[in-house]
Amino acid sequence: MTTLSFSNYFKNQKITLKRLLNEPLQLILVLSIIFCLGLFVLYPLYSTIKVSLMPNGHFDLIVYKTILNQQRFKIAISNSILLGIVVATLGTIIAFLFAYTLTRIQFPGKHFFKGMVILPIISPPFIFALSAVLLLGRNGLLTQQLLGIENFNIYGFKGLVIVQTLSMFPIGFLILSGILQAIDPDLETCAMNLGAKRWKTFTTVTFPLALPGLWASWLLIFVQSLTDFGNPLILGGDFPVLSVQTYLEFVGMGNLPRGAGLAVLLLVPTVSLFILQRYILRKKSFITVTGKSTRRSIVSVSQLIHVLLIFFSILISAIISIFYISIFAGSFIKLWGINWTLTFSHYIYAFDVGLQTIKDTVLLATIATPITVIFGMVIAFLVVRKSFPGKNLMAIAAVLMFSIPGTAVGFGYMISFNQEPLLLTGTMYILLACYVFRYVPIGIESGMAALSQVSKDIGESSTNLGASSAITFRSITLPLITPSFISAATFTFVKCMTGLSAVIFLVSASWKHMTTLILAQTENMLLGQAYAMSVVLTLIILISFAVFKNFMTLGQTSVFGGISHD
Amino acid sequence: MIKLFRNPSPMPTQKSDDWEVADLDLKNVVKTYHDRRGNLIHAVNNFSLKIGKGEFTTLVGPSGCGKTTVLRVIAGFEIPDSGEVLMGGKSINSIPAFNRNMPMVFQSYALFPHLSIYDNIAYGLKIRKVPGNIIKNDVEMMLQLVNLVGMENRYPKEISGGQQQRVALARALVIKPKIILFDEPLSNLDVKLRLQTRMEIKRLQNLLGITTLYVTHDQEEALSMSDSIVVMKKGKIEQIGSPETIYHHPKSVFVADFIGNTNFVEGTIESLLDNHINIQVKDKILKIPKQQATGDINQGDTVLLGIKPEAISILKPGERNPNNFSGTVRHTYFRGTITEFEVEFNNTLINVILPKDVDFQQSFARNERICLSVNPRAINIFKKH
Repeated sequence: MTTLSFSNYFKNQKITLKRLLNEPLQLILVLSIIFCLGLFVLYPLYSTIKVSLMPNGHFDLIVYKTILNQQRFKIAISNSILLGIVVATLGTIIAFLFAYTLTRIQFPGKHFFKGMVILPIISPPFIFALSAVLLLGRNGLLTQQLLGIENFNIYGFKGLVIVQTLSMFPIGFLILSGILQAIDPDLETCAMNLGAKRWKTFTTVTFPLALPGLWASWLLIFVQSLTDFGNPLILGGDFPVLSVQTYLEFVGMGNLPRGAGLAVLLLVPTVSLFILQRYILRKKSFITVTGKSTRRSIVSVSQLIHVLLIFFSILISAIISIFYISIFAGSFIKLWGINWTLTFSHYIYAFDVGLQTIKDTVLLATIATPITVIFGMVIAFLVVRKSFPGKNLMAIAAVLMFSIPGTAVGFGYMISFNQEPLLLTGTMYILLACYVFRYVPIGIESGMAALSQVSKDIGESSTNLGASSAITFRSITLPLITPSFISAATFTFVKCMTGLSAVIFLVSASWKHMTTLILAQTENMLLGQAYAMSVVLTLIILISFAVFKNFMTLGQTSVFGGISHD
Repeated sequence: MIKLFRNPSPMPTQKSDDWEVADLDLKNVVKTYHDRRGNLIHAVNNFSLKIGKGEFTTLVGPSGCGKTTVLRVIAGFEIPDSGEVLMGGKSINSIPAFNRNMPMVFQSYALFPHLSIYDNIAYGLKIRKVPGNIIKNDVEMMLQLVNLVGMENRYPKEISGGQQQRVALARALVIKPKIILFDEPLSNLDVKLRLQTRMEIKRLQNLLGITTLYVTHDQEEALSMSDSIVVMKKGKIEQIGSPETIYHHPKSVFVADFIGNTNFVEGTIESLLDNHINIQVKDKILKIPKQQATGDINQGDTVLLGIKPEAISILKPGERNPNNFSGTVRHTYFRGTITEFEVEFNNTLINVILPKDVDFQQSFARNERICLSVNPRAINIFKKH
């Protein structure tokens, strides 16, 4: 960099700083956001790294040396990576086939299939592990009862691959169906028009264009698998993985520095993938979403593949439904595999023990949701529409949390806020802070979407038709951002209700969470109660969907009324 | 005569008496900003302009010349660094944008996506707390005026670009503006629709007699719609005048180049006479009336001759004209009512436009040598810097 551009850079910074000083309210806002992000995002990270590097108060690599030398940690690391690679590859393949089927082939019942794929995203993260035990466990319905296989071992690598693939491919599906929809059908038509056969069109046009999406899907599922905590804790058996080891190191052994070291090890791949995705994949994406082409792709696959793809989608959907049905059924059955009597006792017990937990969980999620979304939208507004020094840094810090594994977040919060003046452990505030800062990227994302809805022109056009800024906000801005707000709120609420990996470090006697309770019940072999609790949790989420949707109808019918007919 | 608004008649042809228009006066408006590198940019520099009541004025210029900034200063979206905006003789500098009663038609139309066509048009009236029955009446009038009856319950996404554009127009007109502002309103439409809508806007403006300020970079739009045209360059006015003046008597090479596809040919002042200037172009002397020269020119100066394509004609065999020169036909574009030729002369390509002549065969082979004559009264002389 030359001296000239340096001086220009500082001149520029000086001007933006001056502008900021002219608006004191905005200055205060920016400063307090930076303070909060520093305290609740960067500080816990710093503490975690510090504990692992300075186990005895001075710099020492002993923690990492131990981790990398001990056989059980080495195995955990390679297990995590192996599992991640297998699940990401399988998940991405299923996601692509599913997305291709749903975007490119016309057949009835598409909405049902889409619903089936969304279901795993909104359920508690380990629900597949619970039902895997029911279906494929030692007393499993499929393995033992129907097929008569004794001692089929679902615990371990095999089981984890099955449940993680099923619960994580939907994320890939969302990315890929977005990308496949964004590919202009004209491109495919054009390729055929230039003489390419169907398969050739697919390999030369559709597939290369979807490649960035495939990469994104693979990476995202890989990270999800790596950081997954609930499934391996239940189904891991003698297949130790990193995220579980971090927790056990702290809970079982009370070894803080080593727990921190493992959390950092978990953090390295996820944060680097986050950076990779942010800076490399984004630039490589060929798709520009213009929203212009509403035509459906006329390129369809051959009849045989057509049937195979639909069959495949039905199969996957059926497997997902069987997993859900078995949980539901399991919650009403006295002792699965042994005593098939129907009973309500699990529910009665669940409510007896868990009512306070249910209340806590819902209350905390309800408080955290609006704060998270509004906070995120404010950040989005500042980042998109304003300029001030340190803006990019703020944007990165704000979304960084999404890439940090929940285990590391929980660990960091636990060791950062356990003494005066920041004594938050045991209170509801540590859970709220964890929710808000972990899920604020959802609010930011929706804020960006909302801002693209409310273009500068639209606001100005309201102004020069005579509306003051208050009226413009009420009659134009608010109705336009409501849909994004509601959908972000829905997603945040679900995340708060189902998050486990971070929360497990932060729950206390006075503030509990349903997911940790279900996990505890599973560990204590109170499986029926765990199933009942899972059903209750899923129901609460579905009810919240209905409630949010109700809120939305006003905004939605009017904004999206226009899309209904095409 | 049927009046627009407060009147149940089917076709409005004139605006009602309670609709007042205003004149507009800009005095030495300056607006600066800092670019990304921190340099001070004069977006609008000492800009003064008067627009009379009911006049249609157009700002033209290349992108970045400050025309949109002028519009935004008038609308109140930008606060000028110095200078004054007067409406009806009174300064409106301190009046906020929402109290100026001068709606703008945006390039993006900026229709409210969550409101129906009806509610979009009614928006300004509702803000002004106009009684419901009057709103209904006025909006229905507007729908008729812009030919959108039957569309009122649709949403912006459900109608075509041309219809959206007309909704934007109706939404602006319904509040009986004193002045209406257009910011490149037609640039998102296809050619045919653009021509139609251009005529539509002009028809409504004629009908209603509203003071109009229109921004465009399309010279044809400016020439065909305006009472007066303001050509802008780098935040300053280059020339103000009627379309005819701007077209026939451009004050500078910039204006001549921007308006009317002018050809430029280099020449030298051979001598200055009482009524004529003799200019040497290559080996010919052109005799050009003195009033065609702009600025101060002296003998021996190098000048640029601005020649409009239609001022050049092709000499028929046997015809004589002192101002003739020969060139080589490089391309012919048949365009129906006219034919366009690119003729190479003195190593530059010159545009020639000829109206279709039913009696005369107007096709030439490529690379054919032809003889051209030029009307000296249609040549503008600019000093070359």
